[in-house]
Parts: sequence; structure tokens; C-alpha cells
Amino acid sequence: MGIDEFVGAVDAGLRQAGRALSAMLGQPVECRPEAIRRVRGAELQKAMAELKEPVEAVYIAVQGGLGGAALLAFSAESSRELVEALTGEAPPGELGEMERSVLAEVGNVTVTSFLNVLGERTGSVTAPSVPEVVEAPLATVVGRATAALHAPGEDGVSWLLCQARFEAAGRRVLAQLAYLPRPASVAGDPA
Amino acid sequence: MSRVLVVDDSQFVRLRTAKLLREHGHEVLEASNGREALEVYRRERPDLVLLDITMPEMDGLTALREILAADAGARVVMCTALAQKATVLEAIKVGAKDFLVKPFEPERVLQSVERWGSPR
Ligand SMILES: [Mg+2]
Repeated sequence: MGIDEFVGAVDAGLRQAGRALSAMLGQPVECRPEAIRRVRGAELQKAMAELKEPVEAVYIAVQGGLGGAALLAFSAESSRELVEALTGEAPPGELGEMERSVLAEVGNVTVTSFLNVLGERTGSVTAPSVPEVVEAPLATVVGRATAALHAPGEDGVSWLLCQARFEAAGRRVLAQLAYLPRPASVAGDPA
Repeated sequence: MSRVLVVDDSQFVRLRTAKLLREHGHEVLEASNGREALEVYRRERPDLVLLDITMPEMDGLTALREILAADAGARVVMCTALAQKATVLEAIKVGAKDFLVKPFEPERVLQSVERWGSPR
């Protein structure tokens, strides 16, 4: 499949994720894609640099025909705001298991909505891993996701990077959704 | 009232599902992965299992097979964020009664519990 179709699926998947979160929480949650870009692996960290360090990221490995690696990253501060907007309770200083599982579920819903759209459009079957929540410097988070797919120094195809805006309970929270398709998943990546 | 075993690795999802079911008069047991689900199932023999698919330790499809091997009459409803036909078909073929797509719409969860979780 071409890279444009991946872009279309990110866009539609994010909107679907908002509807899904609303249904689960019984309160309106919007999830809007803002800019969608294609970024070379070496530039990903720079492209995500507007997130304040350290970041709170949900990492999901995706097996299957159009598989790859997915990251949903927030600055630590906005991840707390999102947890509060979704649960109605201010999280403690350190995120506990409950707060981390809220973020994991947001990542899960967002990434699987995207995978559902890909599946509907291409018939591909994918299987996401258990989401993993990591609080770390951006470089560590990005390095880890990339290492899962590529040998060191191998740049592979470009990441899809989408700035997404979550809105719930009167709050707006920015996140970065990044997807790195396994090279074999993408046809004719001209970047 | 049914005794429902809620299996999900997400504490948040378990909490929300358990709260919904308790508010509607059901008794709730919890497990956070397939292995734990199997243990609780053997011990408690609940009326119904709501079983997540993607979990650490033992995934939902494996747990489904193990639970059915322990009790051929077990009633299991699969829960997954992936509305993908292949997974749905496999679970139904193995013996799941129904399929819920996450995130849950509360109405759908309650309907499914009512339909499949009658006390035995
Ligand atoms: Mg799960």
C-alpha cells in the first residue's frame, strides 16, 4: 500500500478514536488530527521536540501485514491533564498503575482505531501488542521504537507523524502520534 | 443477577466495567491476564466471562481454549479493540458466545451479560 493511504488511515482512525473514547466514557471526547507529516527516522526526535521533556509515551508493536511500531506521546504535564479530564480526578505527583492504565487505554484505542481503518480499507489483519507506557526522555522513547524495526544505522521508510488534539471536559491536550510502518508494508516510499 | 469474571490487563478498563456491572446488580470477579482468569474460573465457576484478547502472560484466545477445556459449558464473551473479522471468527469457532468491541458502550455490555450470563 502507498504512503498516502497510510496518511488517510491515520486521519480517519483518529476521528474514530474520539468517537470510541466518548462512547466508553459517556462524555464527549474529540480527537482531531492536525498536521500530518512524513519524517525520516533521524529527524523524528527534532520533529517531536515541541513536547516538553520528559515525555509520557504509549508504545505498541504491531504484527501483521501492515505492521510496524506506534507511539502516542505526550509531555508529562499534558498526560496528567488528559488523565484528569478523562477520570475527573487529579492524578498524584507520580503516575500510579491506574493513571498509567488510563494512558495505555487511550493509546490502545487510538492505535487500534487506526489499524481498524487500515483493515477496513485493505483487508489486512494486524495484531497490536499489549501497550507499554514509558516515561523517559524523547530520545530514549524514539530510539526504542526504531530499534524494534531496524538494524542500527538503517533508516528504513519514513515515520508518519501526526499532531493530534484531544478535547475532553473543557481541556485541550496535544499529543504526537507516530507510526513507523515496517519497510515491507509500504510500496514506493519516495521520501 | 449474574456472577461475571471480568478479564483485562488494563486496570482502568476493569474498574469501569466492574463499576457498570455492580451498579446493575451483578457480582464481579476480576483477573488481569489469561493465566489468572483460568485460576479464578476453576475456583469460582462464574456464570459468564468477559475476556480481553490482548494481554500479557496468556492472551485471550489461549485462555478461551483453556477455560473451555476446563468446563465445556463455560460461557465466554470476547472483548477486543480490534473489530477484525479473522479474530472474531476464530474466537467464535473456538466456542465464544459473543463479541464486544472496545471501548465498550455500556448498553452493549449489559445486553450481553443479560443474554449470556443467566445464573446456573
Ligand atoms: Mg488488553
